[in-house]
Amino acid sequence: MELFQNMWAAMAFDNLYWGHFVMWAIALTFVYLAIKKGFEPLLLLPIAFGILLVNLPSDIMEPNQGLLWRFYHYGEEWAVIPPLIFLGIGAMTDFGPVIANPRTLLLGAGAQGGVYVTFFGALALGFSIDQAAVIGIIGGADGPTTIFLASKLAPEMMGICAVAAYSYMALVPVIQPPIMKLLTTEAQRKIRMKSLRKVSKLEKIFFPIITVIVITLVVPDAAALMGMFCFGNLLRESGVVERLSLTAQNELMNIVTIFLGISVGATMPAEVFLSPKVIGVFVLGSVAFAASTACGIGLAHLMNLFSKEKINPLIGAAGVSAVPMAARVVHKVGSEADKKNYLLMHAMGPNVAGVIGTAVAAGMFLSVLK
Amino acid sequence: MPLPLTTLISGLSGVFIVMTLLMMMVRLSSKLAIALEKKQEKQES
Repeated sequence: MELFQNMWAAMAFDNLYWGHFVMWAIALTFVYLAIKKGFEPLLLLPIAFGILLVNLPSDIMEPNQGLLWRFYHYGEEWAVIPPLIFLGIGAMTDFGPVIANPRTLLLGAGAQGGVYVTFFGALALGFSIDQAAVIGIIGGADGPTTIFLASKLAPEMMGICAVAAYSYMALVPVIQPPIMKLLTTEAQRKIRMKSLRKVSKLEKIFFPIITVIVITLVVPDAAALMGMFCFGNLLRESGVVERLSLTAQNELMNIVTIFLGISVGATMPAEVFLSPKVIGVFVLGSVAFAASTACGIGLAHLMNLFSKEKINPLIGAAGVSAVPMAARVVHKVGSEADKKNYLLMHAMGPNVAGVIGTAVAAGMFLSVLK
Repeated sequence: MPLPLTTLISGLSGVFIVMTLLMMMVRLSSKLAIALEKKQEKQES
């Protein structure tokens, strides 16, 4: 009998409580959404498994001991993984549409307006100023930037904000179209833009070099993200290091995605995740996303007031990053108004500019708050 | 000035300053790249 009592004591059943079961349900819902619905499966699946693991009674997140704690500590707390993800994104990104139409850089800036709207919303709901900055950056729809900022300002918010950011990125086709239609007329959605010129190889090589110099000089706190982003892009555009470029795009990206996803999931134990504040984060995240979309479109309208060459205001909505989903949504909404209006490449300009804009906004938060 | 307001003003202005500078630099670098390529083409022909 004593043997069985000892065996029972060595097992983990006694340490379970209702919160663990709720978190299992959440983890399994994420697994379902990733596998069955295809919602950002590359990240949602590892995050879901991390949630499941951390909500099983074990020492897996025990500081200085647990495996996932080590992934989290060296990967995210040291802010190593998000810049590595940016290296991969840079190696995947074609800046041709931005170089061909540099005005679209402003749209990438305009869409960051939602970040600051939400920042004040979070402050009004009682979050600390550091937490409010991390919640606000969800509006940039950029997972790695959200995680990077959280690691620096509010590590306790990392898991929740990362899940919110990736969830809303997956929901771009649901959230954005109603806002886009509300803020534009049919005639505005039909505006056709001049075809983009061909961009030469040398222009594409100059771009990452100039970008990293300008951004690092103005916002030194964005150097880690933008440095890696521009380096990745230079690997791609140089044309002489194809192996490095492909590694950054594929193997390295996949490896860091695994570590990022599972350790972000592991930051969500029941005692942290099951609090009323989480609902506030998700509500504010959707506000951030909607406000960023609206700000992007608003700036496009404003630019049309002062410009001879009109831009289709829908492309402003693509300034929220979420590459290339947001650009595809712009194209789809535009083609509903005019089937022959091909907006995809025009929307890619603000879309990739949005990635830069969000990283700069994060750098600005860091420079003021850290 | 309260910290939230400082964050807002410096953040928004910082993002727009970066993007405006970048826009100007991209235009300039494009002109330089195109000029260099034309020069190279001339030399080759």
